[in-house]
Amino acid sequence: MTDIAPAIRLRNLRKRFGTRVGLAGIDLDITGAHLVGIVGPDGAGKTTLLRALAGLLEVEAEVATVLGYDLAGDVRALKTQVGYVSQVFGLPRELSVYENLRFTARLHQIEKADFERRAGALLERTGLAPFANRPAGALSGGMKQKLAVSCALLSNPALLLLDEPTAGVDVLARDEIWGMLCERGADTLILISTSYLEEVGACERLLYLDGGRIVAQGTPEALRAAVPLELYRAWGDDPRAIAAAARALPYVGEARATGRYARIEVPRAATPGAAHVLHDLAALPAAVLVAEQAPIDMEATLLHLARGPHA
Amino acid sequence: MIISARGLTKRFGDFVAVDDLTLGIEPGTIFAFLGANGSGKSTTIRMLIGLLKPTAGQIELDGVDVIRHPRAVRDRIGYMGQKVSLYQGLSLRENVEFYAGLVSLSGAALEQRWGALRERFELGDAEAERPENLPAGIRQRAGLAVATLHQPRVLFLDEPTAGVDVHNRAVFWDLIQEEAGTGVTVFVTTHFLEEVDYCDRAAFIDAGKLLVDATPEELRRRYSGGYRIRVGVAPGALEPAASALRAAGYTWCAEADGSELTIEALHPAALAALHSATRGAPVSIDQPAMADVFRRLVSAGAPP
Repeated sequence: MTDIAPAIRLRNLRKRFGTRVGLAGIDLDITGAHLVGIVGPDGAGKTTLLRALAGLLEVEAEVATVLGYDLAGDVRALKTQVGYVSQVFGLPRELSVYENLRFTARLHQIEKADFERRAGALLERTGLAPFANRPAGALSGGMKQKLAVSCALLSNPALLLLDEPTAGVDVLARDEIWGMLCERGADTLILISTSYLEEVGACERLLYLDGGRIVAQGTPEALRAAVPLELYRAWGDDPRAIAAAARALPYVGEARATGRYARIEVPRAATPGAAHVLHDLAALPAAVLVAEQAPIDMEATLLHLARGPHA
Repeated sequence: MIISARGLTKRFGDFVAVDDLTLGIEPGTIFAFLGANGSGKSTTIRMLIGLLKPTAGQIELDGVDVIRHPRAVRDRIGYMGQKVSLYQGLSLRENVEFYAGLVSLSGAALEQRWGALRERFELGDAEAERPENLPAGIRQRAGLAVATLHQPRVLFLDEPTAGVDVHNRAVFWDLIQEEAGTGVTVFVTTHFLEEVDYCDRAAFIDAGKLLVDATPEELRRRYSGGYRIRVGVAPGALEPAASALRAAGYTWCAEADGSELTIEALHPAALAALHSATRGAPVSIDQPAMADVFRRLVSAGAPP
């Protein structure tokens, strides 16, 4: 456990890049240890927020403290307590896996014995031990990201900021990275942006950004419960035809074929009731073999937020 | 077959990147090509599109021997990678004109083709922008539009949705399905495993070797605990239909009260049997997640 309690407090945090608005006024309080997911459409400000929290950007704000440090002041001490993984692999490619870890240890002034113990544990945990002497540039995409996360974890940071660390990474490497984060969850405040629905659903708390603002936040369950939609699945031989036919029903919002069924969304404000909807779906001209009402999932939640009333 | 690869092998020194790979893909198929990072997916694609000569094996694409005539397949294929191959510094419109020149498309024919793509891919507002200034989702859509400019018979998409948000991924897959609907064959890699359900078939390679090549539903049958289906009826109410349900492949969950079924794969005949048995009663279907299917596939290793 680190000495300083992880905490983030932001009031009206703003960032401009020339005429473009990166962050348009972020208000946020995070206390205690959490695994916090940052989600939202491309260009919403996720990367900018993570970089601001790492003390990498000059920002404007009424209040902006991270781990007790003011982002408007000297952030050098903050940076020693932050682990950061950028969207694009940014470690020296010509250095080996081990050399990258040692280089990171020197930046953080980690004692040799501590370094050997921590690096050894991380190499074992990630399965990178057999590749310790391989140049980072010659690693597969999944191994590169495991190395980046290992370097970020090496100093036992109080705050870990991860910008899409699992983008383009296979499911097994994602599981390993996610496992490492969950193990740290109790000791470290982790903010992670991700596009994987499975990972979004596994976060303790979500911040949904759009247009440089947080437009929704809460637990995944709370965000799901707040979606004012009913979700139906209509199974049959031709889900595309079913989706097209369902769109003709006057109360249907969206209908889309995916695999073996059509996903059909009905706004709660317009629904004639589940029994009525299921009856209508069964009677569609495209042959529906089975229709069911399904719980609102993370996909429906994020798609709803993407076109929500804030937009 | 529009794509046929037999005994495809690529060695780099002692390292075998692709090992005796055989694939056959029918026209109009959406074919998911899956595997871990470094498993040989991109090397396979580079050989299939004639950019890399195999150490051994044969490849035929749309009737063309790719190894003997690599240039002859270029008109027949479109390619888009995770890093969209649009030139930075040029606007999208300038990129379109550049690529159109490479495939000898110009004048009224270009205007007609690009006009249709611009409208269908909703790129009107992006036309004057440089690719580096576009959000990832729109940039990927623009990349797909440019890759289809010359109406290729086969589209190779290497992680086209990596780093793209859920809304733009859904839009992107609608477009891919539309392309396939016109007869275009789509060969796609992805790490978003739920996207496998948009595909007709999925192959999985590990260390350059093909482990499995099957429909998504067949993968569920082989590598999951199957579907669980709860029917909102009184205990025992499904008994009159028991023999028909068993014949379709259903079994009763031992721990439930007689209203919960399992089945390995939900094929059309199984859906029809469920439809007859439930007679409009509420149904809840728990489908195995594709990510879990692939976790089990990888741990199983060899095909069963």
